[in-house]
Amino acid sequence: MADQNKQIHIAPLVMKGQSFEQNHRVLTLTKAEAFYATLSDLKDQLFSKYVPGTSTPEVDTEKRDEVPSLTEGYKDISWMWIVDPSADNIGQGGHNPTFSKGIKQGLVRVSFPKFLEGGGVLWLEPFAEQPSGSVANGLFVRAIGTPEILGVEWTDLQGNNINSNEVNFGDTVLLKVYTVGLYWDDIIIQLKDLDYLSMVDDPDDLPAYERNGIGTPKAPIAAGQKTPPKVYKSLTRRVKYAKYRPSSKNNYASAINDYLGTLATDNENHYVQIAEVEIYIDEYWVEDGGNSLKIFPTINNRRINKEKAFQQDFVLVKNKKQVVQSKLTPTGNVPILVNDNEFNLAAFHHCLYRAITITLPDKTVDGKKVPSRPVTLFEENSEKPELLTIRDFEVIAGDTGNLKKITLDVVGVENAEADCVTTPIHLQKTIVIESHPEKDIKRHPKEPEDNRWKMEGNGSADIGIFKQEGKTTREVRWLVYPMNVYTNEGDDNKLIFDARFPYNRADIDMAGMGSLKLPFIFRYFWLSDAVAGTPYVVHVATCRYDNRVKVIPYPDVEWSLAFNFSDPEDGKKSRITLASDSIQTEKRHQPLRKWVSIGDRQFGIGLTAKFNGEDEREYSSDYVLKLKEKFKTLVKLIDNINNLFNPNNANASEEDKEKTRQFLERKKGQIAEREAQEKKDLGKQKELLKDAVRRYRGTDNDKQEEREKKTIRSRQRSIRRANAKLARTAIGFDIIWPNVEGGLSWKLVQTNDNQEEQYRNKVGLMFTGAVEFSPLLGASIYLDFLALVQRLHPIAYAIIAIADLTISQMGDGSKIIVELRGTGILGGKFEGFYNKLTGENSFNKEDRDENNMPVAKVTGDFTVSLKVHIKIAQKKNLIFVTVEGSGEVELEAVATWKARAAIDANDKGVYANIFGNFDGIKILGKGKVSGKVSGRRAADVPENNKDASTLGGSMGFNVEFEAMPKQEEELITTIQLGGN
Amino acid sequence: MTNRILVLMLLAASFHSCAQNNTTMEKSIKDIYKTVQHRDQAIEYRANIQVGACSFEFLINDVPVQSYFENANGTFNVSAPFNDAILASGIQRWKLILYPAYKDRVQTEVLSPNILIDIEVEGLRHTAESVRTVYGPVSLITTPVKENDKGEEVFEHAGAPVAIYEGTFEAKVPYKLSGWSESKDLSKEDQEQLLVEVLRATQAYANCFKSKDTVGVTNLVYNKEVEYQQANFCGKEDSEEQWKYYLENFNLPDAIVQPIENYKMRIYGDGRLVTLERNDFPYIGEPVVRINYMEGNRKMISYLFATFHKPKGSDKLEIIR
Repeated sequence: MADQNKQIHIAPLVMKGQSFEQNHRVLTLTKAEAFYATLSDLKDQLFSKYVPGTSTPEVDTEKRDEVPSLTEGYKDISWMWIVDPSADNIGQGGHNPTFSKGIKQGLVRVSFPKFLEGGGVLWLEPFAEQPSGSVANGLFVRAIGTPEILGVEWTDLQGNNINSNEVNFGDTVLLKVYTVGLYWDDIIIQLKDLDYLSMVDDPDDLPAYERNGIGTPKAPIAAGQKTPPKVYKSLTRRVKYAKYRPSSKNNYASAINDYLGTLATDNENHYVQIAEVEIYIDEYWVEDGGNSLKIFPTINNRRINKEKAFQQDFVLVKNKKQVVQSKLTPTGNVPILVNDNEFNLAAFHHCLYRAITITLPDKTVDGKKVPSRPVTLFEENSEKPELLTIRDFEVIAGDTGNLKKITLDVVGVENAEADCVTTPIHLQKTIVIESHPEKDIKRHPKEPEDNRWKMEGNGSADIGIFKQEGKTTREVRWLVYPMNVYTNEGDDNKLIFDARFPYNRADIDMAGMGSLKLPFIFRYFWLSDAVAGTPYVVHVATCRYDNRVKVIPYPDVEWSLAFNFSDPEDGKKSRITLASDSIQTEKRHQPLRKWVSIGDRQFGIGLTAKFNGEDEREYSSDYVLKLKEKFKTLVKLIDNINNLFNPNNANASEEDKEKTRQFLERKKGQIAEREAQEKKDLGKQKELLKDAVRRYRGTDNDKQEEREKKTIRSRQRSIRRANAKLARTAIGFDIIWPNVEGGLSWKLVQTNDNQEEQYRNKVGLMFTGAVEFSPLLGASIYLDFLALVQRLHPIAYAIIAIADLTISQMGDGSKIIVELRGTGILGGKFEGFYNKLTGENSFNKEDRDENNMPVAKVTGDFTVSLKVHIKIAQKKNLIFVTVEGSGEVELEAVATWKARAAIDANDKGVYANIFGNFDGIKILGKGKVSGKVSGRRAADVPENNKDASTLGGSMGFNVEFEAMPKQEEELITTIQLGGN
Repeated sequence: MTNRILVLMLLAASFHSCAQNNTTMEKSIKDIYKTVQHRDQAIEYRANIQVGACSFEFLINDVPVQSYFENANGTFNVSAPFNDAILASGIQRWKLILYPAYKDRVQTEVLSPNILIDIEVEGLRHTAESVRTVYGPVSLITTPVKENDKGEEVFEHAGAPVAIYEGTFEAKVPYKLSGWSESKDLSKEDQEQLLVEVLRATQAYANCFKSKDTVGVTNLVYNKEVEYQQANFCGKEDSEEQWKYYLENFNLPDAIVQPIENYKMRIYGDGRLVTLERNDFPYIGEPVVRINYMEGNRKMISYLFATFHKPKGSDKLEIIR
């Protein structure tokens, strides 16, 4: 019978304003109207002259006489014309009694009911004995119409109108929303309350509070709140149709009457387009609108996009305190009903598959084979939304070694020729390799010989070191190999093949660096998305689902970087502890390091890459420093050192001196330019300060005095700012050379089997490592007093004032020591692993997820003390350096520069944001003792100290000077720890 | 109250004391340089002191060099000359006593974990053109630290009520002073009686400034100055300057010599020196002979050093430092 059915295919006769979509076989009408259809066999014979999209179709004039004979064979066919078709019901059911059997006129005319306008479809299928339910035979029809909300009506669950009636908290009532042109579309209902006792009240929103059983809100009530979170303010419901029950209290009865319709199966009743929404009168609404509510709905729809309020259609809650129980008590108002699924036309195709999965080879863990769990890329009707559409699959592989055998399974294939509506059919064509990165396809290769590769290009591989052109003429180009496929062509269920990552093995020309070439592997130094290889694209097609599976290869390179930078005398350079890799149990060996002298320090670096399933290669030869562009962190460090490096240092090698000289030369121009401007600014500020001091001395009342004092402070601050950069060159640094030791490895990893589904098709970037800084940056800083004096630095002013000296009295300057000593402890150790994709890390993942915290934080203090010793024969100058800031908690002897570094990762790699603040330092002159005869000090009234000026010409005791102002926390710098 | 009464009782005797000194008019501070030896080997020892977050006393050979008892939210810095604490070449003793800091004029109960100590000694040679360090600097002490529970470095005796550090260093000087080395051990005397004597002697010194008695001052400080100027290798100009420092205190504008009050008797020099020190904040440790005066609009204080001993064979207190 199926064969007979197969002969009966419906063919729409598409008129003006109608359209037919062949693939899904949907006839779309702009409004509810009549449409015509015939059978495929008859269409060619009787309607060859009919032009689709024109007038009412008619049989070709010359063929009219042939109609009876041609339709005779179909005289007993039945017609199925049903509402709400589903994959389950369209293969069942019977003849619609409103149709005549057969197709006497050569075509059927069908009227589309007005009350079913909207997004829903009806199903029309002619059949002999049993409907097939296949789109090959039938036809979907829909009429779009113009969407409109006609009105609403409140009823009880039995359908009795309760408009304007009183209800209780806890009741379940029905809100009927009458619509036009919205069948199978969604409407959005928002409930509001207009306090019926108040004339001026604005409507309150009445949100949906879902329950997990009676009395248990789904989302817990936060501390200090009286209701669960108000996440959902509206309810979304699907518009369907239902029997219309007239009521005299229905405010929209006359409008509704215009759109009523009947069903073939029930011509006794009238039907209407409607959404019947069960509403729970929620007791939490007391908190939203009080215990007297006038509840009315506002209705909207995405196509209408204009909210319509029905303030006249309400139910009342009057001063209720008691809560009753009803149908919705256990659930509350549910924002979206899960069973209101989207209508899926694809479901009507019987040429289909149910899922696509990919399985990687089994793993061996501790000598035992652990089967690999398939990764689902697509699944019909999946509860996981991400599986409803096809996902890509990422895989890590080498090019000649470490190939990954991919098993692609197409699950539940049913692609019999009879079910196929396309040409060519899908049988034996469901799985087609569409594109791949290899040269050709080789079926059933005999391992291992077929796994060999050959080179295209010149000569042999020479990888591992920089090459100078001329010395080595041969280069490796692309490697050429076939795509190994282990399944037969035409296998619709399975495809097994080897995935490779085709490394580009041509060396990298370094632009601007002469003939210098980098080994090709540095192309894959930073393992961002950019290193993804050309994907394998497999077309997996049936009538129901047509997907392209992309298997994207990523390089299997694993980089290991070990470095240290230390004083050779510390004896620390001999050993670097590399991070242990907790994910990969394989033991790694110590990368080789090349030691390079920088000043009296040794800089050691070990860089290795392991790829293609082969042994590690070492890249730590003398070219490594030239890679510093790639090692941003280290460059930062080296730059710091360069900046501070003293070319006259007796211990420095000639080479280092030269490097520094060149560096300074490069910077010279810009430094000169900057300093000229700064000097100009400083001069201006200096004059302004002098003016301010003059005015201050001339004041005769407190108010004026206070004002001038403020001006002086402000000028002092300006000078400090203008001086900030100048001061730098006036400061002598004794670097506490940072001892940095670290090992960091990074590679791409497949997500493991236990990972959440959403990540299982992806590869993640895994960092493993430990870096120890002791300290990251450390310095003892000594102010060069004379340089400061020459630059009229504010600290120098302060000291001069205290010491009551003139510059000429200072001799060679050795009488006065101003030592600003900073000892840095910004540093620490951080270690662990971090998977950039899944966020898995060893730094308290939960905390990070919940608080959006960075991967790791490093904090440190840089303590700064200002030591002031003035050495004039037989005299003592008593100076106190006060610390602003944290003294409230405990007595602080030194000012602290507090720093914190937040370490996180972005698309460019791992970075550290370093924030800092400073307590602030003030200099306070306390007194002076001469010749052990007598001492002098101000009486204890420092607050009212008139001599705050740093230019005081007399005995400047109790001078108060803001030497280094307090600085609130700010971002100091961002250090990128890697990246392209 | 007791102190004030005592002061009043002693007034008459003090004036008498100052008048008696008129008999030694031939002495001159300005001429002491003539007796100074070894000027070619001059060296000035200094203690470079940086102490923070606490109060402290620093002594060399049990002679106070520097103390600090004011509010301490920061660091106190001084370079203090101390040749006059060295009587002869050889091993010198130093002692640092740390007390809980003053905060908002009130002394805290225990030593802060944030205490900073950095004390060094050095020897300088001053010339007209420059100053050279010819000895040291030798570090005597830097903050002794321990790790607290959080792994932070803190002062090792944080939480203690007091901490005392002692040590030695070697100093070479070409001179030898008798100083108080053979003086009476005052710690063995009746302390109440000693206090009366010290008060009387101190008041006598203060009275000289009150009555502008330059000769009286000269007589009282002469022995001290002989030793001081030798210890500091004073030349003619230096001697004149020393005298100028005294004279300045006779000519202060709006000067009012303060009564001796709020004092505490302190014995130093291994029991052989005695002095009175202020014991009221913020003047703790300062000399008690004080002159209030005005400098412009500022109220200023000038205080004068007077540390006494009883020379061998004498029962009379004399200023020696």
